[in-house]
Amino acid sequence: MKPANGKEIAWNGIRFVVPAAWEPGRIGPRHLVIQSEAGPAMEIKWGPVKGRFSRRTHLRRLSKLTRARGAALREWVPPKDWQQALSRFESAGFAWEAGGEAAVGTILHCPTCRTASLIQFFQPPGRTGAAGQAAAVLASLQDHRDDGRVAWAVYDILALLPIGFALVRYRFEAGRFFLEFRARRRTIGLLRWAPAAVLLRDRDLSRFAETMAGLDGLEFQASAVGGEPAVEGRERAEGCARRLASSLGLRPIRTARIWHVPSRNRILGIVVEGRFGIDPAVMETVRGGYGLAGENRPPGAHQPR
Amino acid sequence: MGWPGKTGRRVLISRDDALGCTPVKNRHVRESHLESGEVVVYYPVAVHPWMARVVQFLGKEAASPRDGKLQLDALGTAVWDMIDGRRSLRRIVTAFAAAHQLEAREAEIAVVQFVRELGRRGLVGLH
Repeated sequence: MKPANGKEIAWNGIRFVVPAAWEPGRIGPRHLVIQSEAGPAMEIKWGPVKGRFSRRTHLRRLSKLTRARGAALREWVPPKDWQQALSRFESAGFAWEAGGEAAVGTILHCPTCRTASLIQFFQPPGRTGAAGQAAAVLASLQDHRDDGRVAWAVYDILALLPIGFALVRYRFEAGRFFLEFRARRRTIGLLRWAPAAVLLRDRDLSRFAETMAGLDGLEFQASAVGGEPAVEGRERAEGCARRLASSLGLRPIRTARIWHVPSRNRILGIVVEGRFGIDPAVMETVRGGYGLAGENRPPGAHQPR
Repeated sequence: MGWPGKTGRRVLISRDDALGCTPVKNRHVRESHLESGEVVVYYPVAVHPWMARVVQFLGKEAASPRDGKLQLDALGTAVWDMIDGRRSLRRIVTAFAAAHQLEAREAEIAVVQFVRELGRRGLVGLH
C-alpha cells in the first residue's frame, strides 16, 4: 500500500513514500521532518542498535524525555492497518499531547539490519491530521536494501551509491543542492542547479562549471550524457612538481562531469576526488545511479522502487 | 514542531498565513528596465538618525534623503514584475515555480527569501 500519487524519500538508508504534497522540511544525517501544506506532518529518526533491542527501555526513555518537556507520553495500540504495515518490524506504539500539539507514533526495530526507527505523525487534537496517511507511509517504509547500495531521494534528485560511501556534508539551497560522500580517501560530490535557462544565459556549460560549480583548475571538454549536453573535467597536466605530488598522493586529483537536462531546466554534476588517480568506472557507477526524479533513465540505471 | 517543548523560535505567523499575504511595492520606489531585461530599482534611503544629529551639530542643513539602487538579476526581475499588489505570495510562488520548472518548496524558499530582503530594504510591504 502506497499513498496515491506518492513521492519517494530516501535518506541515509531509510526509504518511504509520502503524499506528493509533502516535502522534507528539516534534514539531518539521521533525522527528517516532513512537512505538508498545513505544517509539520511527520518526523523520523533512526540509527543502528548495538546489542539487544528493548521496546520497553526505549519507550521508558522517550517517556522521561517528553515528561521533562511538559508532555504526557503514553503507550498506544496502533490500529490494524498500522500493524499490518509494520508486520516485518518489532514495534511499540506511543502517543503524546502537549497544549495544542499531539502526535501518534511508533518505535520500530528491524531484526534484519538491526536499525531502530522512531516515527511520529502530527495531528492537532480532535483532528486526524497527518496520521490519516500514516498506514500508507509506514507500508512503504524500508530501512535496508539487499543490493549493497544506499538510495538517496529528496526533492527532485535521486542517487544510488555503493554502501561504503558515508554522507559527509549536504546543503539544500534554493537553486543549488550539494551532497558530499566519502569512502576511505575518495570523495563523491553530487550537485544540482536550477533554473538552467537562467544560469546558462550568458555562459556555456564549461564556463559555468569553472565559475558557478567552483571547478576552476580543471580542463573541460564537451561530451554528451545520454544525448544531453555535458562537459567532462580533468586536472590540467601542468608542471612537473604538481604531477609528482599527484603521483605520490600528496595532492588530490579531481574529475568532474556536468550535464544539462534541458527538458527539466536543470544542471546536474558529479565531482569525484581522490588520491593516486581515479578509476573511470567510479564515475560511470555514480552517473548510472544519479539523476532527476521522473527522468528517463539510461538502461541499467537506478529506477526508483 | 517536533518533540514537545523543543520548538526554538516563537512562530508569529503560520507559513500558510504568510503565503496568503500580498506584497505591495513602496510607492516611492522607481524602477527602470535595462536592455538585458533586468530591473534596477531606486528607493529612498533615510539618513541614519545619528548621522542626521552629527550634521545638525555641525550646523549644516538637514541631510536630504538619498536614493539607494538595487539591480535585480533575471530571477529577481521575474519576481519583481509579478508583484502587482493583487497577487498573493502563494500565487507568485506557483507562477515562479511553473515558469522555471522548479520544485514548489524550492520556489517558495527562493521567493520568500527575496521578498523578505525587499521588505528589509523597505521596497515592499505585505498586506
